[in-house]
Amino acid sequence: MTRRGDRSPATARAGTRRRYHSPDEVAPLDTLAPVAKVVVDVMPKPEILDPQGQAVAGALRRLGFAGISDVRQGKRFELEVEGDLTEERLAELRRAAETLLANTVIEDFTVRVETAPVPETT
Amino acid sequence: MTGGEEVHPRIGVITFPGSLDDQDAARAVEIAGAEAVPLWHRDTDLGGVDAVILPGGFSYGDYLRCGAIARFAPIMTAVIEAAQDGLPVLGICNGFQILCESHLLPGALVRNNRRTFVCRDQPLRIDNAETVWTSAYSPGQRIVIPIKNGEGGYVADSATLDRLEANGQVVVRYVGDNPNGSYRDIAGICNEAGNVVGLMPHPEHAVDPLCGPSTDGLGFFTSVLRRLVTLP
Repeated sequence: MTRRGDRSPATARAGTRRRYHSPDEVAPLDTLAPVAKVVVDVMPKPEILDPQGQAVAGALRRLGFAGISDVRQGKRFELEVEGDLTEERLAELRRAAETLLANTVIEDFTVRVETAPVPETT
Repeated sequence: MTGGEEVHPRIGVITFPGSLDDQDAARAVEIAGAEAVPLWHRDTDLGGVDAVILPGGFSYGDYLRCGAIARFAPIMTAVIEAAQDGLPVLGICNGFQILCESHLLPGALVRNNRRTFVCRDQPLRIDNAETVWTSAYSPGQRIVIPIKNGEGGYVADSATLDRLEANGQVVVRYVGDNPNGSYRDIAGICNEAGNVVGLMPHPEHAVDPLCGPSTDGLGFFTSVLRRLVTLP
């Protein structure tokens, strides 16, 4: 049987090594974008009536959980954010929260870094 | 325009994903004698219409907040610019919510304080009959048109509410039992210029005696015609 090219075992091994590098060689950690988790909490302003919270408080009472005098219900947004969290970036995220995630007429919001930027590992 | 021609103003009705009452609004426009022009949320211009209606419904499933996502639809850029230039804009129910989210109107709409969806024929009072959308009514006129909403409670801070009252920007008020806890019984308001009106009740569902409690809602659609027909 004839073979094209050089098919010696040494060549085959070298070829395999060329194709299957270690992960660090293919994508060194410092070239992957860091990913952070930023949490935006949105709550109705204190002066705004919260009927949902009242419904929940009533249900807790009916279930026998005593001593919970008030409940207010809000929203939590978890943002997976690429890149470094510079002051500008955080300001931009606050603007995103103010523009879309919260209606600042009736809601307050906080922006919190829950997980600092960490390079994504496979 | 040559003499003897009938004037048919063109009134745009926007459909967002989840809009429900766009067809009824268009029908009300036609019954009033104008041409209803369907507009799509992804359009970037208003097609030269003489007025725009944002209809009721559940745009984007009321996700995030009612009207919060529709407020950023491509067509809204054109609506906001035109409204600031004086184009008559009417927001009904979800449309009112979109107008508040885009800050064309102050305040916000929140969940009904009685925590149920309210669907009923509602007595109202027209408190401002000088806006482009209410000139067919007389000041203080009582009307009955349907309301159907779960998040119709109009709220704003005291300074805003006082300003609205002082400027005559409260256009429609609930009479009798307040269905949703709206502050000061406010059912509808307008901007300072009076060209942008938002209201929670549905005038388009009271334009035909066959399928509404009255034809009291027709005035919203004939009012704007008067203004458009008399323009040079």
